[in-house]
Amino acid sequence: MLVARILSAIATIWLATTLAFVALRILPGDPVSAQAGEAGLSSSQAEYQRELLGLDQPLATQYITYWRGISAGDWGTSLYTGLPVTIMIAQQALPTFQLAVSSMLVATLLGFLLGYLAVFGQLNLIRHVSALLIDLSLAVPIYWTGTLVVFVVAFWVDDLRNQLWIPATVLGFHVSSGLARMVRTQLHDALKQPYVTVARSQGLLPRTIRQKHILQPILATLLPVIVLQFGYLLSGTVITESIFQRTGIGSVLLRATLLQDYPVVQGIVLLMAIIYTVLTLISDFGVALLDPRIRQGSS
Amino acid sequence: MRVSSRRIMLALIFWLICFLLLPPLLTSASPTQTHPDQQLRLPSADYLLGTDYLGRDIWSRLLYGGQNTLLQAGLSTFIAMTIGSALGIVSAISRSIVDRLLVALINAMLAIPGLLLALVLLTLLGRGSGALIAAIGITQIAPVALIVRTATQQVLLTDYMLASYAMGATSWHRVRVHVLRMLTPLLLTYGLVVFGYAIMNGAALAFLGFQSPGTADWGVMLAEARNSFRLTPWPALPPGLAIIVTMMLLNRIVTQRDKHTNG
Amino acid sequence: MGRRSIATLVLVMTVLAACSAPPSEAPAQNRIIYGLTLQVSGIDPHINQSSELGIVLRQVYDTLVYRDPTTREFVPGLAESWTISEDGLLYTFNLRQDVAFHDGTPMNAESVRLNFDRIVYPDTLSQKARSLLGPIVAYRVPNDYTFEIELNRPYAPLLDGLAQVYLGIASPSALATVNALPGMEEYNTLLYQYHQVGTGPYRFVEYIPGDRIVIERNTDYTWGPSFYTPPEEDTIDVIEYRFFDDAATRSVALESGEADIMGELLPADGSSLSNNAEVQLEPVAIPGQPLQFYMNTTVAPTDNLAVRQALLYATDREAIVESIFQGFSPVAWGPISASSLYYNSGVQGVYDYNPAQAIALLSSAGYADSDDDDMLDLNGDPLIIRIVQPPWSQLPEVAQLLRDQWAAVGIQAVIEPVPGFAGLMDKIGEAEYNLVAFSSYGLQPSYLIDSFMSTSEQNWTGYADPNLDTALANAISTQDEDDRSFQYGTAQAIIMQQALILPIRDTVNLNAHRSTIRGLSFDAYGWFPLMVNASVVAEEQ
Repeated sequence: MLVARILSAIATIWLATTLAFVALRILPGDPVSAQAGEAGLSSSQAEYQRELLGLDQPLATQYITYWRGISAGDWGTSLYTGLPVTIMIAQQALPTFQLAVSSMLVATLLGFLLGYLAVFGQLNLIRHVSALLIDLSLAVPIYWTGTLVVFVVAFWVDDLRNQLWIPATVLGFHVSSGLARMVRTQLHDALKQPYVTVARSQGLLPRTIRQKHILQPILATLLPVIVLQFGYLLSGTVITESIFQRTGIGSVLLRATLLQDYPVVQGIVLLMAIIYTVLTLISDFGVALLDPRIRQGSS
Repeated sequence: MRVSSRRIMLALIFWLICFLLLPPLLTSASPTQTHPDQQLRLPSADYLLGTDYLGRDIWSRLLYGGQNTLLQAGLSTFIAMTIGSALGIVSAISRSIVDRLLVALINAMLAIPGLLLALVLLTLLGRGSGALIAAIGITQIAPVALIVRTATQQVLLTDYMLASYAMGATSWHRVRVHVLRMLTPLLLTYGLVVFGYAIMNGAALAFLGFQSPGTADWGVMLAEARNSFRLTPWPALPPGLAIIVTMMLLNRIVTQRDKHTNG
Repeated sequence: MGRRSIATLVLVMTVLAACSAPPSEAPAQNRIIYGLTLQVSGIDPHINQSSELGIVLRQVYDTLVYRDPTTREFVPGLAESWTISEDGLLYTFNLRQDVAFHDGTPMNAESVRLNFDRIVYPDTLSQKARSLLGPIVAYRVPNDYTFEIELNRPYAPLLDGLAQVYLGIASPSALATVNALPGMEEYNTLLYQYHQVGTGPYRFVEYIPGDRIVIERNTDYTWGPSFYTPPEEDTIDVIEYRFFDDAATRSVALESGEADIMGELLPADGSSLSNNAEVQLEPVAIPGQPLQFYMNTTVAPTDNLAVRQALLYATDREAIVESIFQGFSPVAWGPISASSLYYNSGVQGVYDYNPAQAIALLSSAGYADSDDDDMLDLNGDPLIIRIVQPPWSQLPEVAQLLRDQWAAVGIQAVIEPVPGFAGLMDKIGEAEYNLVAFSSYGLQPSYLIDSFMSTSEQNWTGYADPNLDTALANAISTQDEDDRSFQYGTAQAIIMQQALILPIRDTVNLNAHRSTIRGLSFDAYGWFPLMVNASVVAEEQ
């Protein structure tokens, strides 16, 4: 079971990368002509570049070369910077990692908080405001919030680019919606469950009911939601990095797309596929550990 | 606070019609005509919503921009829904090999987050409306296929289908008709979800520079408003609010439909 | 749960804020941030061609000669003197003997030779440096501190090329360590840019693509040209260059202290920044071609002189400069900007905005509105002008204004946006464009040869005229300055008579810096700051 799951994860990564590889090569024109234009190379210079990159080889040969490289830790070389793709990713991984992790923290906390307050908020006002914020986090484009923040917050905060918490809050707010809605629905459902009614009739304090009988059971069901949100969050980093003029994987990908820097685009596809698949794996096993029914069923 | 889902649906339809059909009736101004001597005017009788940094009429740009943005999102949704449901249904009713291959393909596409996949596709497709429609449509194929596949499997297990199998009366045609009939509500709801994604991602990519400059489009309007944001933030407001209202309506309907279908 | 998670949220935010605070710098060092505007594709001076790379590397390298920014005359650099033979074919440079590269290697004629080896080697794929050397046939090292260049025909722009950072002299040992010298076994053109070593007032520290370039002051530097006058105190010790590709937020970055110096601000922000005491505007006129469109003389309807002239008359440049450039740059009238050498002021005022004249020219060419759609046509074909529009220099906005101005006289413009230079070259390859926007920069207008000589590969107007060819060829071969002035003047006149371009505005780089930066000045070519002369004082509270 475990082995099969890991094998299928590897197959997914391989397939995603292969799709990207094929797609990027069957298009009319090739990376060198794009680059030759950008750099003002003559046609003989372009021909030389093409040879260097092995683009004159048949597709199958290129494909084998590509995987041979990957297995040796060589993810290709950027057409523009001349740096190995792995180094470019490594150089920019930290800021994106920081942004992603801190946004995820904000999103998780905000998601729980808003979802909880929308159901159990003590005042009507609190419940309505929370509900509105949940709706807005899904409906407002992040580049709109981001633009407002960049121009408005800059008046009070010096050196915006080095303040991680500002973009993290913006991105976290937008990513929180999925979790918040899920928490809200689950809490609503849990309130209707017979065991809650029973607990109430036994005279347990509302606080105890909430913690023991409502919140704890739903935690396990929320783990996959949090992981799913991570994909959405990675998409969000591209825009966030662009708006806040931050460096990172997102801005590397955006630039590579605009310049048609194929090896870099391909490297980032591979990276994303690995991250996402590994996270899904972890969440699957996490759920299995948290939920005894699945654990028993799988063994 | 609770508004009936029918009313919200009507509101959404009215809202969509305003942008899709009515722009020529609601304004006589061109959405692209520049007026260098009328830059950044506030709302007035001449310019209902003021002008942007090139002196273009924001009211007209908002209307025609809505037409472009919504039409583009609609086409992306159409691509995603038709191809996605076809793949999902085929996968659910075929024998294991085909099913497995399709599932593997769907999973591979899902392994790259939405907007990033769209960026990769745009590396190939270039820029402009056509490229954006295709990229965003293709991006949503895999999630649609996955959901339709699961739903189809459930339909196939219903008593009705089991019974018709047992009676030996099942023809291909019947399966198709029945499955499609059972799937329609789900497809409608999920179509609205995809439509929402398409609006958000389309505007995001237009914002990032993948739409031709000057186009009347909500994302382009937002991006261009940044150029004059320090002088006056006003031009960023109408397209931003338009996107928010559209998304609020869509999300409300989806939430309510979900409640109906789930219980 | 509610209260506690708010508390946790606040805690996390505080921790995040603390983590993200910039590390404190040693107080002894004056460090500033310089905002670059374009993500460069590479910063090897011998290979790449962007202006951005020069903004950084002008500080890292010395050149054989320099141009004084005020007199614009050539002054000694690494060469303390030089002679040019009577026939203009042999240049002899006497090098300074007290110069060392940042890695300690002494600089001599052999170092210069190795640099030339690299630049002219075909596999180096030089985009600009090689062409600055013109018709070079040989270079020699007669003794340790003498370097000779031999040409096969007189080429006056040579010294001008040698004064540019693209021909900066790099340390041969640094070139050798990354296999960047010809003849090396694993010859690699791309790696040197990350390990650059020059002789300039700043040494290269690191380059991380898309992120930053860092240079630090070279305290041993004593061999600068006459106009390098470092301040006594408050010198700038470390310069970190960062990329700000989003034009809309550049001024925000400057105001919030994210950057100390920034180029290419949005003109609209320029006017609002002039009220801010903390920030000073520093607009610099860039000599070279103005913001302009080449008109294709090989494709209808711009193959017709009357149509090309009508386009010029139908364009209200004043309105474009006022609205898009906020009056920050002068209207351009000819093929070179007013701040260039050999500028012919005779082009001024020719083709002033005159829609009536445009209509008259078009009707004389047979265009009329025969189908009552307010647009002109000829034999049933509407008058359509296809404009190739790259994304830089506010060209999207300019193109939209052109379209609307021309519509007023019945000309229909079709704008074809391209994402970058590659797309632009594709459109040029298709050869269906009428107008295409592009500009090169330089103090003396030898770039006109590339753009207008009938035999040039980059002659995007497709125009061929022996008179123009002769004027351009003579301008670079003559030894007589007055004659050169006359020849360049003639070329400019012909270009405008034939309406080969639609000039819009002279380029002005709208720089700004925080008022803590003092003495910021730029070299003769306009783009490149002389950071060695600048200083930074503590922020006034």
